[in-house]
Amino acid sequence: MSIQAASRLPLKHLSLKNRRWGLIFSTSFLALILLAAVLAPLIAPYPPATVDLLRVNSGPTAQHWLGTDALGRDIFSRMIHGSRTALAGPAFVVLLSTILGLLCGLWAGWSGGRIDAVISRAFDIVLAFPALLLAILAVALFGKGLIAPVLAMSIAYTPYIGRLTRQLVATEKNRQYVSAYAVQGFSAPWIATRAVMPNVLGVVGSQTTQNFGYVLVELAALSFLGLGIQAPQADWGNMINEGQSALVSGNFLPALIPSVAVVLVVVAVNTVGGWLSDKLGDPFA
Amino acid sequence: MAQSNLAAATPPAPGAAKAPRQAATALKLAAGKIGAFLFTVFVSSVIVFFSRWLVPGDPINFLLRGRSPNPEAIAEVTAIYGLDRPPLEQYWNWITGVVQGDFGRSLQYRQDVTEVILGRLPVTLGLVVMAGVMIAILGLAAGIAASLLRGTFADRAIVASMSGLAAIPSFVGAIVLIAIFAVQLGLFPSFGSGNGFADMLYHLVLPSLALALSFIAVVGRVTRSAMVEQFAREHVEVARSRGITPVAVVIRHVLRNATGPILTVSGLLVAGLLVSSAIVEQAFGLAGLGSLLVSSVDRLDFPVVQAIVLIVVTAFVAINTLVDLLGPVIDPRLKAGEGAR
Repeated sequence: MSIQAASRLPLKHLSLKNRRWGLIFSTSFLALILLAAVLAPLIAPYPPATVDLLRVNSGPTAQHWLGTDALGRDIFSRMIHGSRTALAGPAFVVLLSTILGLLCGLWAGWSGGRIDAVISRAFDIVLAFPALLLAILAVALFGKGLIAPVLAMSIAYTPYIGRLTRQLVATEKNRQYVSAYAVQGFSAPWIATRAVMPNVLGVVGSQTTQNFGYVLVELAALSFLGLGIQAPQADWGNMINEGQSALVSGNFLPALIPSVAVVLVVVAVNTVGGWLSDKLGDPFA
Repeated sequence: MAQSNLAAATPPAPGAAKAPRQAATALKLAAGKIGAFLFTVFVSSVIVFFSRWLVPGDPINFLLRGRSPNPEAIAEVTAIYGLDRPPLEQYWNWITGVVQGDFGRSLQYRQDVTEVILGRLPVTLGLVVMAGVMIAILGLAAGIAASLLRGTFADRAIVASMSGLAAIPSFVGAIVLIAIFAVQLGLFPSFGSGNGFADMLYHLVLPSLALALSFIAVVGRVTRSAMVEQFAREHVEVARSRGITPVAVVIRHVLRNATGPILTVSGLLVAGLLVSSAIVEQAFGLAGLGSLLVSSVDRLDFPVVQAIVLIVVTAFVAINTLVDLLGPVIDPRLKAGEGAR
């Protein structure tokens, strides 16, 4: 196949090497971030948007563990609140694209012939649009925020799940158990959804986990560009963007902390994804 | 594309007719790929153009968002877009213009879109070319070095540092490079693209590196694994036992056979560079295509957005098609009808 998004490549083999400890570290780190996101208003020491012009660009202190940004807002609190959109955005994209991809892929792989050709060609065309570019186009059409980019990215990621599902279903279809069900008089839709689908889900699941990392980076990039989550609301991407002015004056923390958070979450997610694909088998890796 | 792969997999016919038939199949394959390219670009242009219809309401309101809807402006936009025409005719007018290099008029600059884009092109091209050179040199060097030292501590160190690099998104790379090389050490500028060619190159060092970092890691990894795979092959052992010098073995027998995967990945990367350059241009305040795209979205200048999206998609698909077509030229084993290696 000629077109695959280049943005996918850099993360492919990216995961912590020492599997046992890597996995323990990654899952507990992700659990911590998830907990922070869920309980954000309870555990954040300050409201994320409270401006304190008397304490601007302060380094770490007893009151402000990670310091404050150019408007005197508490970085630690903003990080905690920002984790909500950082996790929710990719979660929606991954959920939507997996559902869409499973349905299209199952349909294409099971039917074969002309339906397969049409769906596969449609996948090719969607893949001609890099996910970030499609998200930017969506913002140009429907305005800034999280909804338009999330929907656009869901469409952009559907072909990855769809192609994988199609390929898996097409091979599963020729297995003996399928004809065994057919002989017993089970209908084709029943076999496709109830018998074949569960065998496909594992591999698709590990792909889905890896997509989460790519989407997280791309959504953060979008709000870094100022096209995603908007200013007063805390988001890791726009925190990096806003932190850039402090960067030039020598205060690295406001931009560096969210940057490190993005990298750590992506590495953790990929470690879990890599473990999943080892467990569940990845026939095309 | 599935069919063309099948065609390539059919065993060659025995006998004298083999060579011409091969050439014909190769030509047919190439024509198919070019056809698929044209089809994809055509459908993409339809999507880009008609995406405007997804927004509910009057197109004039959409195009004039954030501007005063005085009668002159409405008349101008209507005339530029031919909004009083049926949709298909509007598309036809737009696409015939695009083919001739006319992308319409920018609402924000009150200039032809083509002019605005051409003004921004040098910076983006400079950025992508410079990053490409860095990726090629550093990526290949790291990969080749690691494969030569395979199994040693140095190899593991290179592989580990490449895993680290691959984890760095371009906006994080930009932040870190600015912090270290522009603010702390003061070696390079962190903003703008300077005046004149040499100054531009100097200003583009950090942005190019930020853009290149994760891609260097990818090329390095692919190069290493492709070379290590070749080193284990019998033909390399045979070449060695024939007394060919180690350098010639590496260049002629290992590296040459490893070009396939490296080339494929490189094609995908160049396409990825085009998109990531928007992020780097934003971080370093460069007036390139990517930052033009972002500011046009910001200032609701849809004609420019349309033009850049179509250009990037076309370039993306074109590069992938080119890599697909170049594959058999560089690696004759991929040629049609020759079967498995």
